[in-house]
Amino acid sequence: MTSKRLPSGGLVDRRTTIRFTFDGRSFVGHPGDTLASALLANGVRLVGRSFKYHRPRGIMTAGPEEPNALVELREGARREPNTKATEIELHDGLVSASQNRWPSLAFDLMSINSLAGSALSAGFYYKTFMWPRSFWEKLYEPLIRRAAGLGRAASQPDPDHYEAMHAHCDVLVVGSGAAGLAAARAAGEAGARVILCERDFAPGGGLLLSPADAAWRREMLAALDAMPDVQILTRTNVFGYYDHNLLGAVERVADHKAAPDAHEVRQRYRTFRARQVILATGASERLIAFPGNDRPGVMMAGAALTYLRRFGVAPGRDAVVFTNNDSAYETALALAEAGSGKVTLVDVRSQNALAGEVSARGIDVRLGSEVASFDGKTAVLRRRGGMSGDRVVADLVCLSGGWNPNVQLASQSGARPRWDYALTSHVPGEPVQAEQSAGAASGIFGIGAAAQDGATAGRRAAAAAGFGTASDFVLPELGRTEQPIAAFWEVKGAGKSFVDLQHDVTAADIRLAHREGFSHVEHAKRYTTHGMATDQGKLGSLVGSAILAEARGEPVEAVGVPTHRPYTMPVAFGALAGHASGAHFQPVRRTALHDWHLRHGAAMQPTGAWLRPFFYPKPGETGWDPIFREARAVRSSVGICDVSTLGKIDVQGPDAATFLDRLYINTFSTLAVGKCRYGVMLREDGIVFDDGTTSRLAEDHFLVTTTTGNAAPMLEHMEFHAQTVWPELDVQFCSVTDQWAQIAVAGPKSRETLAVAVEGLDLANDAFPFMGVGEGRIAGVPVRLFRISFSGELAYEIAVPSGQAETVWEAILAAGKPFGIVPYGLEAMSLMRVEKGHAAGPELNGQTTAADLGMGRMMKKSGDVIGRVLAGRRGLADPGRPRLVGIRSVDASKRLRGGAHIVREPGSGTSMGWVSSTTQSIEHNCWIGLALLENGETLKGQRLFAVSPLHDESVEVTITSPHHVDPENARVRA
Amino acid sequence: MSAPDRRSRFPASRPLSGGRSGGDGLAITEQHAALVQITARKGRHNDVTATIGRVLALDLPPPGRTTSGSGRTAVWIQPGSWLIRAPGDQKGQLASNLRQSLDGMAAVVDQSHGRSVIELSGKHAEAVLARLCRLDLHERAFAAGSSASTLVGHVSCQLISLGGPVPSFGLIVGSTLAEWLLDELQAAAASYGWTFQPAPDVAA
Repeated sequence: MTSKRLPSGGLVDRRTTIRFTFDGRSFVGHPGDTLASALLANGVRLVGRSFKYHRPRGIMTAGPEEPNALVELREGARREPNTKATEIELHDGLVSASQNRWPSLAFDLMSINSLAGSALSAGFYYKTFMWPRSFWEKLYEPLIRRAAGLGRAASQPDPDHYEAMHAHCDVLVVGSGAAGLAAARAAGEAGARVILCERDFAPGGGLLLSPADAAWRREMLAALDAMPDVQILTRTNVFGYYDHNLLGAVERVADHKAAPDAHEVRQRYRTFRARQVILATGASERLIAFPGNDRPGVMMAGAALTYLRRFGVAPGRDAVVFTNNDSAYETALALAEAGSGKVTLVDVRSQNALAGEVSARGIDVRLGSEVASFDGKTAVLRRRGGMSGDRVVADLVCLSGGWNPNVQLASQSGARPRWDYALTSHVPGEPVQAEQSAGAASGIFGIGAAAQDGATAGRRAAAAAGFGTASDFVLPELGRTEQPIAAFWEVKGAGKSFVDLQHDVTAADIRLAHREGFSHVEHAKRYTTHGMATDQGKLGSLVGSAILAEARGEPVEAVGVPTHRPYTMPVAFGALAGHASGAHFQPVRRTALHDWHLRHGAAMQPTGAWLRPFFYPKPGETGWDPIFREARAVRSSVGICDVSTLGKIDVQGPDAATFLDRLYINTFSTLAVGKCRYGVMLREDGIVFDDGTTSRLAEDHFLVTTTTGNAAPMLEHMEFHAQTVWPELDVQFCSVTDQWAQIAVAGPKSRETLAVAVEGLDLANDAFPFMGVGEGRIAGVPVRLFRISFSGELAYEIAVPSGQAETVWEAILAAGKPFGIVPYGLEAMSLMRVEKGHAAGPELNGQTTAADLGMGRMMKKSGDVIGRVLAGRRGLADPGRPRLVGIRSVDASKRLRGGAHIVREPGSGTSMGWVSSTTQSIEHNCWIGLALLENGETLKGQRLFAVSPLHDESVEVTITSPHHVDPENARVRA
Repeated sequence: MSAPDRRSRFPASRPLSGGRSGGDGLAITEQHAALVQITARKGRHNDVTATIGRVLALDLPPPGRTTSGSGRTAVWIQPGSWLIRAPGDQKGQLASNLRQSLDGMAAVVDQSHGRSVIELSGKHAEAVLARLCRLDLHERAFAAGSSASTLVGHVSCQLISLGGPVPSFGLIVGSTLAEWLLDELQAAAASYGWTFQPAPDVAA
């Protein structure tokens, strides 16, 4: 295989050699190469097999529109499938492999599909695999997956890191060709903050193909670099244009390396909020459909020029250039200049003023002609519409069916594309957002004209963003006027003429879609999958529309193209997730005692946003051991627990009591200063919202506590009512959840423990009774004490300024040491709350009323309150509704499960209610639980069954009061 | 006896530097600060402004701004409500003084323990925050003294531009979320490198 690298020219550094492999073979390339240019330079012609027919394919483009050269990049955990060789920057040690071939690229067994091609026509899957349904899962899908295998994703976790970055600017310029550079400079010189994004690793766009403009490009880049408020981002593809001038992009930070550097991300997801946007996204060349237009050796004319001029690579020897417009003449000239073989130019137009000039360079010009077919070695050329042609030996067929301005982003922004008859393509329509297109993206071709258009757009954007228009720099000269393009889409003939090479969609498939009723362009797209591959139909979307238009008997502009949506190019999920994965997925809240818990061996568990100690296991303890030990310590002596996660809201003001009276079903205006009271709050619809104790610290000062999970919703609830429903109330409130750490000290020895630790407060039962609130000091730290209990034992909660929580916690532990005080976690707390029968999250589940939970009598007799009216609805007031009851397993060894249904007999299909919470009881030595049971009050004492069909379990239970422990509430008052 | 007060809200085990070494890293400093939230009672806005002007020599700022003087800063946080920041040795005392001065005019709530204050300083401070926050922090849009209630690293923060010769920002965050935020800041600064200085403990 001989080198196709030209001796000179292009933007590759021939002095430096880069080694890489493709399908296990070693090759060399140079810095500045893409994988595609390096493969071509090494004479690699066959790079993949097609998706459906497994036809051999070669490199067809030099950019993101590449349909064929999809490779697996890298190995192991970093293996990435379906990357486009045309978009991969060559680096030393790059490992790549072709896809969709078995057993090898050159010999592919699946290419038999190609012979059975007529059976695999459009809509084939829909038609064939509709029936019977079971065949789909078992037979068809596995077969299709093997046959149509795209690349293999890595099976190991991604070792690389990603991040997001958000930027703002006055002017965002997308694309760094002549128009983009001029736009950025004009806006930058006017004083605007400018960001210029370029997808490629080399800025310049079409300038990279024009040696004559190299000096201007360098000068422009240097000028942009010198402006501090202009930022150039290369390797950054803008993939989406959203409302309010928000655009999304991915910067491929380290994709051009085998592995990112230390502390470097692989890709960076970027968002831009721009006051003005200039879309200088250039244009994409479209193909012409003819039999064999997918054979290796078929390449877009602009791509061939790119390989010659930018990469110094001859993409073939004997070339046929097939065109309907002037742009491909430059390719023909460049091929002739490279001088390896014969160049034939086939122009469908019968006249062209350039023909003489081109002929003079030894190029065989055939006007009014077309390529009838190509088989990879020989092209058949003929007069347009003629029957016979002559055969020309060619290893390269360059195609140009005209240029489509890249209107995708403009279209996403809401600007409806407009048909341009002169270009036979769409150009961006009237802007809807603050954007404009410039240069080829708006249908203005040629470097000089595009630069001029870009400069004008840059000045206009700067002015619209509130800056002047002062800018002064030299623009390249205008080129000569091009001759009109001929609207020409397809050469009809026997054999497959492709409109979408990646998804193997042919012109015949489009016509079939029309015959079968899928005539709307959006329907035809989905029926044939035309334009749905990773190249988004950039090559052939409009060609497909033209063929559909012909079948419909309408002009192509009446058919249009499918709507452009994000993303303009495939985007890795990793980039979109950014840093927010794994442990960084969502915020974690830690109490002030978190570090103490860790140092003392707590098993920490996430509960909502919080990390909380579940228990503090000792060596040798397994299963429920630590939970039982901690709960027994509380029931028999004393325990200490971090309950800082409870929501705390400070409520002040002359109307604070009135405010609370309207929020809670019970009354707080009657609460004495220095006392607390349990309260229940309803939603507007009458369902219980939250519960907790509220303390009155002064006549106009309350402290509300909420459940852990409802702290933020409660504050919102209060804000909503204070701002919109009762704006007349003079009340101020704010969250103090983080200001106060809260420590529960519970158990019959809790008073004796605290008597040692607390200074300045008499804890005697008379002086500080149940539901008392007081202030004192522990270890010199001022604290608030509340005599409240969640465990059902004599208990206190101590609020301490959170920065001093550890000091106070340690002081209490020291005071409780003679009583064997133990720290207890969430599991022991939960065990004791189920024993005591307190409703918590599983019971306050957004479906229960106060009456359901046995708290109906708390509703005050008079005065309006949130939820009162709707709580009186018939459905909510129905006495037969499920009520909170207790359950106990009859056979102590039988486990109870939350979610089990309560039925009268095993096997009964009628559920009478469900089990909400369960635990093993240390008081009763059996499984106990709380349940919501229809007519629960009347069923107390009866035996029913808790069934879990999921586990095939049925447990006989006794219905009891929910208060499994101390139903008279004597212990808490002791 | 006054209780020993470990000033830092972060575990002593946290590393003091990380990320790329040798670059223009981000300096992250935990501040020891007293913080008090004051919220004017209905119709007492002007009285509160006058009183704060008299007792703290601070002009209460309008929305989106802060004012500073004599080592104290006032930050607008919501309509009729400000956060007053003072040196950490005034914890507790600042709240009780303000409670007296503003009796009947405003709700005064001590947040000295409820909020952590972290300052960021360095050439790349804005670029680090751009990874965590969606606001425009460019000097033209968010000049020194600007303040915003916004999400930083997915958590609610008060973000303040401190200005100065080296770009600097202040972050006031709920103390139970401070460690999460510090993790996020350090991860976002890894490609530049960072140093972390916790609030120094009380001298023995």
